[in-house]
Amino acid sequence: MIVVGVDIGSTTAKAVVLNESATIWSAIIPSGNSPPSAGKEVFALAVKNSQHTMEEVSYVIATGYGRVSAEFANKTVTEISCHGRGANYLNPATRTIIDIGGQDSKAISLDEHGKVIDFMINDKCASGTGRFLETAAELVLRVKLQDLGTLSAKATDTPNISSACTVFAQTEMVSLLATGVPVENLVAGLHRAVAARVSSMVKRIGIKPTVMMTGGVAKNSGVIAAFRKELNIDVVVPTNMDPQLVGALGAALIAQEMAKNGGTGRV
Amino acid sequence: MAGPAVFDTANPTAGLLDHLDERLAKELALIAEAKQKGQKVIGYFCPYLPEELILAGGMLPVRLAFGGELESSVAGEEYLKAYSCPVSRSCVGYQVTGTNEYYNLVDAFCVTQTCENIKHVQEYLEKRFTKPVFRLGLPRTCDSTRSRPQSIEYFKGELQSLRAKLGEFGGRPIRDLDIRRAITLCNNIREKLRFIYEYPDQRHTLLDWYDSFKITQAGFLMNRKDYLKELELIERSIIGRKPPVEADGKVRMLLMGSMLGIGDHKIPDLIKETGGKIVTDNTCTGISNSRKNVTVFGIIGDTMEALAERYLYNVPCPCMTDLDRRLKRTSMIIQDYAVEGVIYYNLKYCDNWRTEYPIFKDYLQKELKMPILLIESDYSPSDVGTIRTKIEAFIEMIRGI
Amino acid sequence: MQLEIAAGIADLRFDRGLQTFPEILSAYLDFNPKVAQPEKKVVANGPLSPADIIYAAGALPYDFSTHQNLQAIFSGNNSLSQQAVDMLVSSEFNPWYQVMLGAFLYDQNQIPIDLFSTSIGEFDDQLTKSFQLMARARSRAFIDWEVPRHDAPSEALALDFLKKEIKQFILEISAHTGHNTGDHDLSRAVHAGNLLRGDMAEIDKLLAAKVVPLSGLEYYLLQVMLGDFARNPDGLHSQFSLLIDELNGRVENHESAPGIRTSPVRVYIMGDETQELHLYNSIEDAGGVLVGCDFRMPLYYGLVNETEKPVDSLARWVWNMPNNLPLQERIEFELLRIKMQKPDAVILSNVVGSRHLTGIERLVKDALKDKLGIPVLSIETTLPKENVDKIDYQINALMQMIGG
Repeated sequence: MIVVGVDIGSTTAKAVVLNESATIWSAIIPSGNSPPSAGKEVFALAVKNSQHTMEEVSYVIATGYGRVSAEFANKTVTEISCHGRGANYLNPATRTIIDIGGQDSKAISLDEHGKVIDFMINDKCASGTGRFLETAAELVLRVKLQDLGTLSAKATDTPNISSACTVFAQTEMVSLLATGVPVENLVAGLHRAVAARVSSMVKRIGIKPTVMMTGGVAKNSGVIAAFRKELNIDVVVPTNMDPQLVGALGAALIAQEMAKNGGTGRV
Repeated sequence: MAGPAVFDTANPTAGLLDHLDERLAKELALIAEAKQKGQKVIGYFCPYLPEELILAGGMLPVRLAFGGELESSVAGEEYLKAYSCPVSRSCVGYQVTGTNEYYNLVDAFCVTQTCENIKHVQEYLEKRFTKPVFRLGLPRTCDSTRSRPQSIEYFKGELQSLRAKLGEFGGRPIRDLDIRRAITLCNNIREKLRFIYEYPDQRHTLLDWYDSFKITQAGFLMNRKDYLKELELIERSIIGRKPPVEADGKVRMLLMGSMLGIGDHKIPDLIKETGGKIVTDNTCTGISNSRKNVTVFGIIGDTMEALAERYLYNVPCPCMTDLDRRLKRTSMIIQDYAVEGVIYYNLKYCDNWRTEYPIFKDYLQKELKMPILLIESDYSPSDVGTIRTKIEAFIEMIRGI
Repeated sequence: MQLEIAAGIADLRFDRGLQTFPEILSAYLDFNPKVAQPEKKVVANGPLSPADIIYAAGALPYDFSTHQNLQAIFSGNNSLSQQAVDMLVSSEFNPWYQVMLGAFLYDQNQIPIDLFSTSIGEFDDQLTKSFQLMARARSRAFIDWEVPRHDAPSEALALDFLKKEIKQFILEISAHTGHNTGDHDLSRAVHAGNLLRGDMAEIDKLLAAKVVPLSGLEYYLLQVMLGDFARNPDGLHSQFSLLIDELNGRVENHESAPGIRTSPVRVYIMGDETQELHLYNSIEDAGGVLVGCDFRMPLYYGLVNETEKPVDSLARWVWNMPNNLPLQERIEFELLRIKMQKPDAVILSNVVGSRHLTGIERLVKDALKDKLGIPVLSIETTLPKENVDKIDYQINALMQMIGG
């Protein structure tokens, strides 16, 4: 028997399969313009990767912003609880989680048992999100998203990008480019701006070590470095797993508990 | 008059509000009819205004506590800045659009000095409107014994002059006898409401909060004598019924914060949809309206002093500096209703509530280990997705998954 | 703070011809109440509450909000408002109060405040509630006194109430200072305040003249510094007298302040105090001159009557403060003042997040246009340096409109 956690985000859909001996398989695909079908697709793909069949699936939990339309799931759970569970599994010392997804960012506080005790979701503004980094990189700076980390490591200076609004921030970068500021410096500035926006939220729930960063943006070493500087504390990323999968992993872990409790009990 | 005919054991409150709903649907026509016969309609906003004075003058009080309508809050931006609270923008917006029939039926407004947002509504009404606006000064430093004597004296004086103005407007001086009768009526209403909400006790009430909230708000609009009859009807039909033994597993929530207007369903609906359950509220449009009677001195002694006492100290609005009292009262509500989580509803740009949020958060977590969730929102549906996630995560946090 | 190298004002043009002004400004910015008068209790006071009463009770009134904000603007510290938000303050607040709260809640820099006091009226919710929050965060006393709403028919009742509030306020502050405050102390404080209010009226007269000897930036800052007069009223009055002498010297030589062109367009500003000090330079750069603004008017718009009992006259004066007047009365009152300064245009300044007068900006604008028959430009600003281009653009457009 296997359980599956499916995390349907705005940019990517992720799924994690767990078997009884806690072996992990996964799949990631772009969400495209139809999160419901992306959820279904990634679910099937992950099961296929695990070389199990759909009939062997005993419990499915969907999370992420597309969770409401996931009809295949036995239950839906918010990203907050899933990231909490996933991070706690990967590193039980985790007390604070920073998750930057495509469309929003979150700060989560855990107690010593891995239970969520406080959280925050950014409200309205896109400037602390993966989408912001992506558009700024590809449309303004004309660099690839995955190169941002290496580029910012070469920065000689970190210009201040002060606008809180993404539209204005992009205008600001365009004018900085025009004055001859090198791209790598701008990338460093961009990372700092994102880290500053999200750090505010982290401070509001209270920073306690260990701080773990999850979500796709955690793959960008430049952002991690900017967070370390902004929060003045070490920030770790999952080492044995793609940080993008933490939410789906958490969903799968919760699914496992649910399956054990016959799908009704509390965890 | 017939109450709900059949008693449904599975759903003991089914049909309970049918009669009230029917009556409320006729209200606009009835008010229009009363106006034809020469009765005046007085509209007001904040619950510091003793309705007794309006009733004693033979007029119809209407509390214009509407909310939740995006269109009117946007229409209000014609006069108020977009960074004014949605309540105040709506108050202006309803006049701009002319779509709220209750506003249209009002003959005069009473405005109490509460916050800057409401002040701007008053300024708009005075400047842009031909209908009379009666101002009522309200002391806001009522936090201690320090200012109590002069606060009461001043407020009493302000009520006295409002009484004179209303008397003049209504065409007959308002006598003490009229006020005493009105106090009796309003006290009866408050008592019935308390009975209905707390039947048989606060923890295991027969009505769910959504119904009781609806009942309270009907009382803002309906002819108060008829309203009392409706309450009596509801009371009669619940006597003897037993509340279901609670095992629904839903998280018991207190909803507190900014004005939750008639029509502002967004947050209560989301709480319901996500598996939470509001068990009580601490807002100016909810259960607090039935809190405490006007004392017996209102019947046998100084009517104005008794009114000043009742209205000055029982509204949960942070425009007052009585923070400590409100903190304690909130903590009592939490215990009385066995609350498991607090939703702190903050309408955007409602400064007074917003500034007190860190204080409430700190106090409730320290004193009661009570989780609290801040929801900042307005009348736009654009944030429904995020708020749903927040409330769901909050419930998961309290309950486990 | 060394003004020459202050990072926040590097782009601003100051009037280098004045001797006394930089002295007053440096003293203001560097002021630390605990160093200046260590024996005195420091009472945080809001910018719209008169300091006279606190001063009379033997304490040191400190307009903490304005001081922290100007220090931040001058030193170029632009992180305080974000720090406030990090501490759970609303991101939708007026930036003045965000900066104030940021400085207080975040920075443990021993901001020396013993007590918080504020008047409570229908005019400054964010400030009064923020004071309550700060007092609680640091376990300090929060002393409030009520200013009842201005409503002509309630005058006797309201004044009676207000007098009782002022008397109790004096008692409460005195309980903390150990000072036995009598009518005599209050009269003395009112007199000292009146001297400074007189100075400001004098400067306003200079601005009403055809040739204006003082630039907008300096004028604005003088108003602000005067609001905190009670730190050292006598000393400040003599400095202001010297400054007025300097300005009179310019008038005698038909000399306007540097930066003001000949036959400039006369501009009056009303509404919310802006953090964008560049506005004042911008007006002059575009060929205008500032002839008055109402930001600090509540504090000096008229003298407190010294011939009657001080509590009575203070009560009447406070009750009639422009910020306590209903819109209609306030506009009429302001129109009198505006007309005295003979402007060609009025700028209505809005600060995003403020719920003051400009919450109802359209009515104010309509009334001004209607009664004055001159152009009214509405501007909107946020934190410093975020609005420079937009302001220049709008001011230039206004000047071109008037210049034809």
